[in-house]
Amino acid sequence: MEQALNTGNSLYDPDMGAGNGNRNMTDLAGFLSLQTIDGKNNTFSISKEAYSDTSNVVGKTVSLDLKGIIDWTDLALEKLEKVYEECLDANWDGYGAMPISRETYSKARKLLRMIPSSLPRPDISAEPDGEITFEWYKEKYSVFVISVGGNNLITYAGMFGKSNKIHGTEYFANELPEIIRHCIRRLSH
Amino acid sequence: MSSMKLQDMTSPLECLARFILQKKWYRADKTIRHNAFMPNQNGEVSVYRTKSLTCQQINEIGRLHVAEIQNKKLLGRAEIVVSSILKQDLKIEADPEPHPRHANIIGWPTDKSKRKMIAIELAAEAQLHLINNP
Repeated sequence: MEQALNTGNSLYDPDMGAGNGNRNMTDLAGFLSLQTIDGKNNTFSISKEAYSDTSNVVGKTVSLDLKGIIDWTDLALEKLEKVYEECLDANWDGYGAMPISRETYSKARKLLRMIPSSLPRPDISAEPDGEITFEWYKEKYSVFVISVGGNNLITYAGMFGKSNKIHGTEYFANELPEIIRHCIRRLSH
Repeated sequence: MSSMKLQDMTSPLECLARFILQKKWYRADKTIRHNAFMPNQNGEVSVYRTKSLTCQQINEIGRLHVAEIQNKKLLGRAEIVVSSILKQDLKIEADPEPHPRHANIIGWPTDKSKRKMIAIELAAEAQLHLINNP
């Protein structure tokens, strides 16, 4: 429950809090609902992917309403932080990779928060040039990958079957570019 | 040894090994991620020719000449056939340091999204061989 409120921001960074403002509302709603779980309100949104259909709160087991979209943002942010920490030093891959910079981490957080939780959660990794990668994977020949560095550019590439390929670069400011949204949706259908 | 010479010597069906030192390069379903084949800052992907070698011998090269030098554990290798690389208009250049079988995949496009696209395709065609580390 504490994790839903913990943004993990130890330093102020304007990009860290940017993105989809609804996320903060979701977290807050979850928190407030949890506070009243012992009372009448036992239906609320769950902000973690790891959950169960019952919860033991102050000694009582209550049923939770699991309908609707599960917000995976907190889980993804935790994974992002882990990847960042693992790739802080140069040569993290054993082949001379560049370290992930604080700025790249910050942009990746911003970008992650722009991805609607109605879309599947990406796998998070890193590339040798120090960019952070989000991957949506269905099968060997159905995969979509985006990466972000210290600027506001997304580099993307994807395969939707052996013969359907797409790649390019998109600028992002305050919302996820439509082409990226479209490709993620295309993969999940 | 020039890239031409190496290509002359290799069959399109010959395998090359990309040694894996980190879990970020493969997925839980034992498929390989594109970042295993993304070139480094010098525009190279380091590989080893595996022709006529047993799995044990291949892994030994990876352990001695790749992993231990970097103080890392060898997790496995991604094997890819030469034809998959040549099909992408990439070249294979012999680079006999640190080992006579060492080579680099070169000739990557300057546009990063194209490099990413190629890396995705190479990863999809490569086979993962993990080592059962204790």
